[in-house]
Amino acid sequence: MQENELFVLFLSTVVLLFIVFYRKELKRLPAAGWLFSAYVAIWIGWCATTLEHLMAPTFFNMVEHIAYAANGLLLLLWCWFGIKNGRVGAHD
Amino acid sequence: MISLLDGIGAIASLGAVLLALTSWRQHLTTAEKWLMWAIGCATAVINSMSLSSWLGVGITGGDLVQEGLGDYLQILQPALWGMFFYAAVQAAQRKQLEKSRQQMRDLVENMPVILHAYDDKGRILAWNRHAEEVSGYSKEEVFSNSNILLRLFPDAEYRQQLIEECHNRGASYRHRIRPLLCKQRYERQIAWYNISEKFPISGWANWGIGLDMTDQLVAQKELEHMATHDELTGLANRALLRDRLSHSLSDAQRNQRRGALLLLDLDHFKMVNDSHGHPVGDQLLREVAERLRSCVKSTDTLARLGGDEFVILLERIGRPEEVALIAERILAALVGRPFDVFGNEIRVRTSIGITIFPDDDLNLDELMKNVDLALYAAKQGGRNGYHFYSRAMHNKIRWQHRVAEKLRNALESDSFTLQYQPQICLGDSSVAGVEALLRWSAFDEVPLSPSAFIPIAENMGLMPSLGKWVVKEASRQAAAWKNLRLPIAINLSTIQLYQPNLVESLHELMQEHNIDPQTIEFEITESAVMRNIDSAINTMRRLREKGFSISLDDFGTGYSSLSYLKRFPVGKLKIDQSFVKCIETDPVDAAIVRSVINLGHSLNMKVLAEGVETQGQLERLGNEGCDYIQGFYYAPPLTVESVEAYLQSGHVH
Repeated sequence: MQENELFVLFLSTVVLLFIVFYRKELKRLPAAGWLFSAYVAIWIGWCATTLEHLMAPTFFNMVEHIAYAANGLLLLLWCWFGIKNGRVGAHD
Repeated sequence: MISLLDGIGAIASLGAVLLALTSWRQHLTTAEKWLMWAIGCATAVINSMSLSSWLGVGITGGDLVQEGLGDYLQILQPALWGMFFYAAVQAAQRKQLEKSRQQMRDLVENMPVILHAYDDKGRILAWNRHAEEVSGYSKEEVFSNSNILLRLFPDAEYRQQLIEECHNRGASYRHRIRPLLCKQRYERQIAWYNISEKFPISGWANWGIGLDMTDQLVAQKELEHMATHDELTGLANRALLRDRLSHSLSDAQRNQRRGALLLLDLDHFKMVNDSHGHPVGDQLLREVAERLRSCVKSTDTLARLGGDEFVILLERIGRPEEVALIAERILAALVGRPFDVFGNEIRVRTSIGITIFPDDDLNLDELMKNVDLALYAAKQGGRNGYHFYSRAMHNKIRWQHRVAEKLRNALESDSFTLQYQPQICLGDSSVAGVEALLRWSAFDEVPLSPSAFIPIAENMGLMPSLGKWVVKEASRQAAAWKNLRLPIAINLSTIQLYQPNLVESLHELMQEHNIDPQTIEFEITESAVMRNIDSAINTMRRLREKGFSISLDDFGTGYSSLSYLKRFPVGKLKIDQSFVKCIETDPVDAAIVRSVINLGHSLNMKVLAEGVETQGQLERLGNEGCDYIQGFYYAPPLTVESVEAYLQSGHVH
């Protein structure tokens, strides 16, 4: 287990809590649901990265990469739906 | 598989970055955009590195990429996400705050009150849309003009206060109604609510709101005016009069000075309404009010109590003679020239009652009552004049009211009686007849003189029934004295004389009691006959036709014309006692009596002298040839029993 991975997990969890705490304000972002999903996906990836050193390395490694890919796709979808359904005026 | 996933992730991330770069300018803040690109790039790079690692192809070569840049990027990635979300939250909060501020600005700007704020030098810093609408001054005009306070607030004292409050900031709160001078040069009354304290908005030293109260104040004044003034004439009403009279009374008492209260009403105003209609009556009242205004000073109170009653309150007078002059001025103004109301020429007469205060009474209600009594006295005095209140008048009128109250029940309670005063034939001293005289014991055993209560009964409209009772009672007594064949003289009142069915009803009454009409003589006063001579002569003739005798009472007091006298079908003249009283001492009275006796004899009438009380009067009347005597010299009015005893005592009938 690498220290930087633990640090990333810790930092990303703090950010996740921040998102939960300020979800009301963040919902004002266009297509916020896709963005939150993208972050959750990458957070799962970071969790998997850490867990693969403890148990089922192949499985968690697979989960990690699936999560990264999902993160990329969800980011793309966020941008796409944000453009399409973006709430003009929410952030201008 | 993993390579595929990493490839998808890398491509998707790059796609996201590309989309964000091209299309998201309007949705994200600059910071968010940069962070978004950083996140996308970092994700793409990590995925790419992971992919290259799996594929065994170094992008930048060696461990540096795998262990150095990769580690940094991994740590940087959640940090970037965190920074992105933090920036998003900040932006959201900033936007929310800005939105709230804008809403507050809109609210303040569109509030239906004047919002105004000043700096510590008294310059205006805030001036909302309502303030612009009310004042006519735009924001630019207000903010740019250093002397704007001078233009806006005509009240110099208020201006000064405002500037001082701006200088001396504290938590003082002020509420006052002061005028605002509008750009169009008219004033509006504004309720200013100002507070002078440090306010969160930079530079505000004094601020507040202003409510335009002009319409409310006008409405309030109108309501007050309506509550205190007469709608028809615009004069003060009873409530305002009472208020001013109360103050005036207190002031007069405190400062030892005098005032006067005048109550006047138009004589027979009801006839104007009845004959011309209420619109004419109302207009007449308005014009009367106008003329009254011209008779008094602007400081005096002129009020209308209702109907045709007006009151004038003179708060400061010197002597009562001044009030008399004003009363005469009023009479001249109202009576002197006719009113032209909608083309109708109307002449009015008015009576005025006057009371002086605090001479007469200090109590407000008493004062009103007194002036009412004075008016009553003025009306009794013949109308179209004025009368001052006095204590004696007060007592007299109170006594009259007591008599009037008793009179209402007197007929039912059978408290009237008739007494009979003998009429003596001067030739042989025999009793030629008796005169039935009404007596009323109202308050004690002493009967009241008819002259005391007959005018009151006339005013109360009781004379027809009272006269009827007298005739009926005298007829009943005549029937009782039928065997004596004693003529009874009965007084007919003016009202009875002009009753259309008088003759028939009297005839029926005689038949009912089986009385010979020749034993009944009706005494009719000269003044009653003179009211409508033709009708009176007709009635007298018909009475004569029925066999009744008629005498003319109080002869010499009614201004009758001698030309009419020859037409009167009367058999007897009764000389009024006022001429008899001084016949011994006053040559004029003696001459009048002599003339009347001669006149009566010339017209084939008998002559009776009333009120004979002395031997001297008797002798003078005998010398002049008078036929009959009536008076205390022979007998006072007697009860039935006394008359019978009088006759039995030797007086020849």
